[in-house]
Amino acid sequence: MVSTEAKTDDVVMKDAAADSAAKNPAVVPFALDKGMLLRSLFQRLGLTAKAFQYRNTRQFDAHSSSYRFAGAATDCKGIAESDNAEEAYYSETKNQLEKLVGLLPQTPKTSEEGESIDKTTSNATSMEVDEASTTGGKVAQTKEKRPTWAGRAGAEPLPEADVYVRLLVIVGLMDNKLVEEAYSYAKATAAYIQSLNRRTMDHIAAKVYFYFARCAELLKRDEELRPILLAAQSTAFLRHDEDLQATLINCLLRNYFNSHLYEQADKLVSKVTWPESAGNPQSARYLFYLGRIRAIQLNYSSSHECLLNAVRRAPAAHVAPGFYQTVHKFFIVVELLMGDIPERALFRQPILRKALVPYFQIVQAVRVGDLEAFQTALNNHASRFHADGTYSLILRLRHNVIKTALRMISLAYSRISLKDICLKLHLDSEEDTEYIVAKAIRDGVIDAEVDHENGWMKSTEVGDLYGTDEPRKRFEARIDYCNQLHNESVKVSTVRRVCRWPYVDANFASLCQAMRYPLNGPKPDLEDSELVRERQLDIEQALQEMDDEDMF
Amino acid sequence: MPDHKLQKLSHTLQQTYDRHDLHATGKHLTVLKITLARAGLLFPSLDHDKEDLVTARSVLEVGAFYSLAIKDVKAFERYEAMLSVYYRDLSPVLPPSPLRRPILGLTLLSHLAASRISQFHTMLEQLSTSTNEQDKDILNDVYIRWPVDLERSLMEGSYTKAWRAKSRAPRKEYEVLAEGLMGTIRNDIASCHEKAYQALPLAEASRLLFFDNESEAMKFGQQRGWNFSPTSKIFTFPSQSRNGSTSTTTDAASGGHEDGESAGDLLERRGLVRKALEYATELEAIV
Repeated sequence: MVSTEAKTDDVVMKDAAADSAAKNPAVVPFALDKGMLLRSLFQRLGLTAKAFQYRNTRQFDAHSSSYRFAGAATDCKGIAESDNAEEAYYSETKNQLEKLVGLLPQTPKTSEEGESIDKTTSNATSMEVDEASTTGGKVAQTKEKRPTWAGRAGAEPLPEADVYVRLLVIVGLMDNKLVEEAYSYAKATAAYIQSLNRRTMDHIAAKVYFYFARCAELLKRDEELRPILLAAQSTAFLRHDEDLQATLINCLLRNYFNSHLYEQADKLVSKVTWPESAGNPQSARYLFYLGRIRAIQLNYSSSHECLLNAVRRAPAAHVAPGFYQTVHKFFIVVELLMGDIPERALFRQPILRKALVPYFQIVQAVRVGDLEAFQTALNNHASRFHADGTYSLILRLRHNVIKTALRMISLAYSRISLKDICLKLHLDSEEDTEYIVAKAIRDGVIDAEVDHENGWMKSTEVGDLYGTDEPRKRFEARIDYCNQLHNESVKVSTVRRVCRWPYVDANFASLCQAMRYPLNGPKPDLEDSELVRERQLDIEQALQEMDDEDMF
Repeated sequence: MPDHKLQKLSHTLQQTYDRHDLHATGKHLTVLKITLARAGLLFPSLDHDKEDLVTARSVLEVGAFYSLAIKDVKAFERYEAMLSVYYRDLSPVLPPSPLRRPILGLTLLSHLAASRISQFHTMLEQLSTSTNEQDKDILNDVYIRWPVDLERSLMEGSYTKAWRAKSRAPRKEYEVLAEGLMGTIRNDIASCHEKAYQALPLAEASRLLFFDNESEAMKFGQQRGWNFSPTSKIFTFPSQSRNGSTSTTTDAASGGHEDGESAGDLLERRGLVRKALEYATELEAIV
């Protein structure tokens, strides 16, 4: 507080404070462009930084005793310098960062204030947002005074700028392995953000919380973190802060996964709604966690869908190889559990090839139904699978191997004795073989019947598949998929969101190419659905009549 | 400050349970549960006395076993839910309980018996990925391994293995839950047989279904609606739904213009028209 006193005795500053009070700094235009905000923020930061450099060089001597209470400030300076050294490799932003670092001596003061705000809000009853915002306003006002050192009365800095610098400090601390400090500082910053309640801060707030959660994870304080995140999540929901919501849901899920609380993770997912406006990276993370939960619950088809979408939404493979690999590991196992075999091309991708070697062996074993190869692959790479968290999923694959083997046998032989099956599959007993075969028949894996008296399995002849409507159904499913894809991409391209579809096979891709929609071209009046429906009814009737005529 | 009254009560409870005096155990448990509720130990927190927590845990453990002894599975699940707090959240402060693994194994089995397979796997995943020091080789523990193996042989269809496992149950409480499971297994096998066989002699059927004598098997067969011919002593299975789907669809393809059309054919045609129209509108939207 001493430092604030020290500043307020300046005449220029009082003027500025009066000026800014009239402008009401807490109100920032709602629809402010994000890019513009950041640009102006940087400008302002540059100005403030200059101001501080100016202050440091020229007025530091004059005011030194009152401005700096030595300990905290110099500490922070030290950190700032090491920050600087660490982040030097950001050559482009180095200049900017140096300027930012110039700002840092103020941080002990602000963190102190953040904590004091924390106290007042925690003392106050839950919903007194007004009080919080007024304290926030006060803080904003005290901050208001700083930039006036630049000599420009109109340039009041935003709390966003302040939080942005704090964010940089947190990241810097983490880079320097000062996780403990980063954690407590992030905690204070989070409390400060909560007290401000500014929509324009949402994006930065999400980042702060992300690093906060990461610090807690590094320090293994998951349990301590959980209630804080949960509270912040519900607040974010009430404030429609979708960025923060998305980040917090992912942090919480990660937290639960780290503590192996899958049931709680499932409950969380069932209680929250995923904000639609969340960015692709966050959505990809969320879908990945969701896919894992579903896989554990044996809901493989939904898990498959989630993981597939996670891959599609993930950043390009060479940008985030770790995520790409991890998702694929689960993706492959889930695909196997569904009874499908992943494509060979997947394992040839340069980024995936090395990481997926153990999985490739498993896939090969499942593909040919070789129980022995499966067992050896499982034993050889057990530690790898344990580390990936896929071990128990892979264990479930055992009966899939048996099923595939049975299917192969039933295709190859029209009649085979149960004893031979038992030997071929390395099963333990002939009795069990009978049950296993019976179960496979019931589950529709093979089309056969068991002759108990003679002790053999007789495959039923496969009818002509093209005599049924199976091909049509398959074709319909594909067309539906294409349509859905097209509609979605039209939707997506209108909002100019970039989406990649690496999994669409060549046919679909060319189809999509053909169907590609001009970005700003004339759109069909889809809104005119009323008209469309009417026309459809007409056509349907006409067709019906024609049909009837045909019949008689 | 440990609660002496509670400890004394729990001691007598332990004694009566060890004597297999189920009636007295039930009475003691009711008294103890009220005491626990008064002391707030049903919702334990770190503020409670450590020894009290240990006592409360052992009371609940006895309760869980007792409820299985009187075949009350619902009550067992309630006790298990209360115990999970002790096992999970309070594990850093309390000494590990020797009965934890049997209880966990029983919980797994209860999930399996009630065919809550997804819960079963969630719990298994939690156990197998646990980094906790005391859970290091938990999957090789006899109490946990038993239900896990049972589930695996059930999924595979090795019903003989599953059936034999029953006699190797590691604790007598397991048998209570397994009893219910065996009924499920039998129904499972029966439904397999309906699909896989055309006919099955009675003697073989009773062996395959693990019945002790043929009359039981006959009763079971009649319940499921199997045809039994008393002279040849052979079950024949009604083949209502076998390759039903393929036969109707081939009919639809070949007999489209015949007079006696079934409702399915009409539906089929409507579906085709609807699809075609859908494509038309989609195409219109694209072009």
